[in-house]
Amino acid sequence: MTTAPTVAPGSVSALSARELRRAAWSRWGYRLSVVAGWAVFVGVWYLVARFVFTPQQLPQPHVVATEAWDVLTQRDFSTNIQASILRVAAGFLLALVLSVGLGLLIAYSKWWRRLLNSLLLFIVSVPTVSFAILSLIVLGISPMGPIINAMLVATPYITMNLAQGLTGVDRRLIVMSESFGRTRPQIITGVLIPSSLLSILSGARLAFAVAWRMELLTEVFASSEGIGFQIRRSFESYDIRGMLAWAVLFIIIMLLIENLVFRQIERRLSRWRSPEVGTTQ
Amino acid sequence: MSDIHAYQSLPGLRQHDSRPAAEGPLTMRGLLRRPWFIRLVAVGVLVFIWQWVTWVNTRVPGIDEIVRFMVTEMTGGSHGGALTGEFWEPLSLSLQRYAIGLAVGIPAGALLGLVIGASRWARGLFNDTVLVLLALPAVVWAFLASLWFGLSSAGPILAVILTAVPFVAVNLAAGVRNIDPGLIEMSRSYGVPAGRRLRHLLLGGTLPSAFTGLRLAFMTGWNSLLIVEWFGATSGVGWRARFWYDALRYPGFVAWIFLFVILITVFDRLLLSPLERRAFQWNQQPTLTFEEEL
Repeated sequence: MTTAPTVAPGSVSALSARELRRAAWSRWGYRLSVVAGWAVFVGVWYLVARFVFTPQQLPQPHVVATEAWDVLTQRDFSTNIQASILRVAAGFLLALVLSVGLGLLIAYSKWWRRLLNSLLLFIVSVPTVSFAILSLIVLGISPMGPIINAMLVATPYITMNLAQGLTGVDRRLIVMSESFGRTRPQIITGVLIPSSLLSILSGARLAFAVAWRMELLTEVFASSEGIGFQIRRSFESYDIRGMLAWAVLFIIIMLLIENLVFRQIERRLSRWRSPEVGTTQ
Repeated sequence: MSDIHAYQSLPGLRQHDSRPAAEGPLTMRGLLRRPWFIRLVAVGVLVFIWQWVTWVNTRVPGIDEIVRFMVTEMTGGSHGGALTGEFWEPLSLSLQRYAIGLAVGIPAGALLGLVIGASRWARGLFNDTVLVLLALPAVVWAFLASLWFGLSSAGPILAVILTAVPFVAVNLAAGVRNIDPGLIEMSRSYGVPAGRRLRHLLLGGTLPSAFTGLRLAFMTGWNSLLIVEWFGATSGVGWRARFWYDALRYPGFVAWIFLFVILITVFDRLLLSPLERRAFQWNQQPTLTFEEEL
């Protein structure tokens, strides 16, 4: 890894060979510890399920896994998942549109920044359960509740990151483009958008995670379909197995969207940057 | 996923402004720019939005109704019939549960975070577990806790602990890993004693992320306490809100929800913000990213 490409295979010194071995060992050791971590997690679950709770109270992991598979293949999985994902997407898109306006206001006006800072901070500090319950009486049991709530909680994260991205743009670049006679649209598409994109994206990623949980919570209180509603139904019929199965599926979908959609976009968008700047880890 | 709930605070947003606005003669223009005036406008906007909702939707109680209900509830007056107000008893019970939960959850999360941040092996071992716990929605913990422990206080307390631990752990671990290795090496080669190194490097380096974790633990812990009390308790503030909801007394129900928000704001102002201000006295702008003078 660390040897220079010009070194011939025969001349690799004993030291660098040892270093290579150590690097390999530490890489494999880390992977080993990750596997061990999962083994411990599942093992503790088994032990707790076996010795602390009854199978009714906490089913063993493989029982939950088969239940999740059952849910996935048989029951009305696709309609519920579809409902949830569509609502999150709608709320998220609304938040995105709203955030562009608010973010521009914050980035270019100090007075609006002060005002919106306190409003957005307020929204972030409200316990999400309050939004969920309030939508129950304001909007009743309707798909609008989850959408509006997802929008509400996602907006502060996207807005603030967008404003940060816009204000973080190197002023000298803008001044330089101006003195080289670039037009305003050219500056926007060539300087402002590319340099604030990653910041916007990290805000969007966070906002999505928050919106997804908010949507679930609202469905628990005020919905007649979706993952949250299923979790609540399982809870009310004392079906912990079903509840955990739905929760596991929820986490898997969240991780899939996170890794397949957001990570990919981020990778593509940051390709033009130098590798040191572009990598997130 | 690994970095998503670390440093979850909003960029540029801090509870307190390090630089107070200049006090000058009170002109109209100056008044418009005073921080308290802007805050007043913000409150006005929220009140207006609420009133607008009450005009559109008749089910939603107006602010006057809500305040009147809360006063009756606080003074223990009659709500009509045999129902009398209850306020201090559910409140003190919930605060007790919250305090116990945080007192257990925050140190546990801090310990876990330090271990994960300091050792590569521990990171491999615990990182994914913490992330799964983090990804699990609070409502699932709340349901599990109330199904396991019935209507006792153990359910709410457990839910607070379980939601607080991963948030503190993830943020503290990120803070430990972000300490500049060059600084550690330098302090070692200059022979700085371990105690001072621990204090200045570890504490100084992890404080911003530790506060983020702390604030998230406070927020999410309160949230899951309310959920457990709503679904599986016969006491506490969450139960009280549920009680009025089931009784179809919307002013009471909304009054309690407003109280949830007011309470968490008060915790923040009275507990976290002063602590944070003290902790960052040596460094006025710890994580500020864009802050210009107003």
